[in-house]
Amino acid sequence: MKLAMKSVAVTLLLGFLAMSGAARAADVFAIDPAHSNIVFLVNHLGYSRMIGQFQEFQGSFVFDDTDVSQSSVEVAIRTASVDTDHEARDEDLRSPDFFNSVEFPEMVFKSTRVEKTGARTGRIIGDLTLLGTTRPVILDVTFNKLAPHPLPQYHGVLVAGFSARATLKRSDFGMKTFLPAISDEIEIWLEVEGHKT
Amino acid sequence: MLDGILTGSVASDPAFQTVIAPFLVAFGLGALVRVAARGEAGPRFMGIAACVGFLVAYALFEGIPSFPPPTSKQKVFYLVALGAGMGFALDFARAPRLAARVLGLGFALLCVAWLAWRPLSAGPSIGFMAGALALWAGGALFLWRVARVDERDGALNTGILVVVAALGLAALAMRAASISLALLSLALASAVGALALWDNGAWVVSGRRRGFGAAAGLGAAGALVAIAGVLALYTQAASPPAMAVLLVVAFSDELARHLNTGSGAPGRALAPVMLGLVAAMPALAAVGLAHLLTGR
Repeated sequence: MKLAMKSVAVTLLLGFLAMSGAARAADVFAIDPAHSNIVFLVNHLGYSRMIGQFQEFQGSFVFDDTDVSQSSVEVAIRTASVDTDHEARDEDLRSPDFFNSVEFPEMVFKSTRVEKTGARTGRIIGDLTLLGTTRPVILDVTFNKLAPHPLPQYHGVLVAGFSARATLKRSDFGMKTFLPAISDEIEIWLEVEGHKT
Repeated sequence: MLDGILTGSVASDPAFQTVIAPFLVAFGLGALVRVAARGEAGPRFMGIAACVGFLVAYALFEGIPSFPPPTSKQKVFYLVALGAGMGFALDFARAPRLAARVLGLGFALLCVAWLAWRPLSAGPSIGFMAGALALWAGGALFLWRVARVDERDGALNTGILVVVAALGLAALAMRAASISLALLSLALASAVGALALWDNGAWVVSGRRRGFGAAAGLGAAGALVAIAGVLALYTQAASPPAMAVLLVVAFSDELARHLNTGSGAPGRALAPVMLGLVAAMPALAAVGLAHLLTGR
């Protein structure tokens, strides 16, 4: 009787785990652009920090919750999608003065290493290729949540969410126009959701 | 100047970097070359001063680019250095003037091919290829005309045409939302202007014409071709018809020579002013056309 009850319990538990769609080792997630944001902040003449974002990007990440070091991420960002809520300034940003969007339509970030630094924090070390130049960038990441989507129309798809911060110098990528009036240091904020594929 | 005031450093001010510095460098280096090189050699080699003035401005404003340069704007620096070097070699060897004209055709091709390398190697559209060919034709024609005017009229008139064309290109770059290309064009105008100023003194006082030289012809005028190339290929609001109209500046001397400015020193002083005014017409027309076509 006890053995039978234990078997039932184990079966139920396994079934529950299967239904919950818990991440197995190294699950692949497609970044959901509708619920992700790539934001940058740059100091403008010392008066304030201007906020902008990129509206078009695509990518994926591999998340292994049992061994974070096996995780990775790759994302391509369309440089012409830069948006600071000011069309004339956005045109400047797309010009050869800054992102040179016609010559370099995309910038790409590809992780090379992921490290765990705390229970829900980590660092993603990777290479950012911008304006034909590749430089290392380090993202400080916070793992927010991994769970099936609660809305019925998503049919219980597993969703992973992260927040990340980074700082880089635009001059490292050859973007030197109007230094130091427009700051060299750029702060990056990332809020990312991915759906398991 | 605001940036210089904010940062407490005039040297980091774009106005100093792209107008004052190239002028001072070109003028000072021109004086040095004139004094150091004896006889005819001084004026013959002065053209390199304009190229150095531009390169110094570029280095101050954008920094010296890494090599190989990844972006088209960074390639401008090395194209100007190459043109200046080739031209100086021609000047040093007292090569026939035709050599500079022919080399200009090849140099314009090199400029366009290298600037457009990224899209060319990715499999360009027919439209892009046509644009690149038109750019080469325009650049080659401009360099040919610069050499031709230099042969006939010397450094002053050639310098005036290049300065006016550079100022026109700066205005077109501003309309195409590229302030850095506009400032580089201004730097070129400033550096070549210093050279023209040197020759103006000699022209007014003695009536003797000095050559612009192949160094300035390929390096400085070549800078204009390179900047125009980046503008045409990689800015979304650049106006190709307006840039084609700007090319007419290179033919302004043909009209100006029919204007009678009188004889003697007053006439010689007035002649370059009239040439500048005539050359300004197509430059202004180009800017007006860009405004009409792009609405900026």
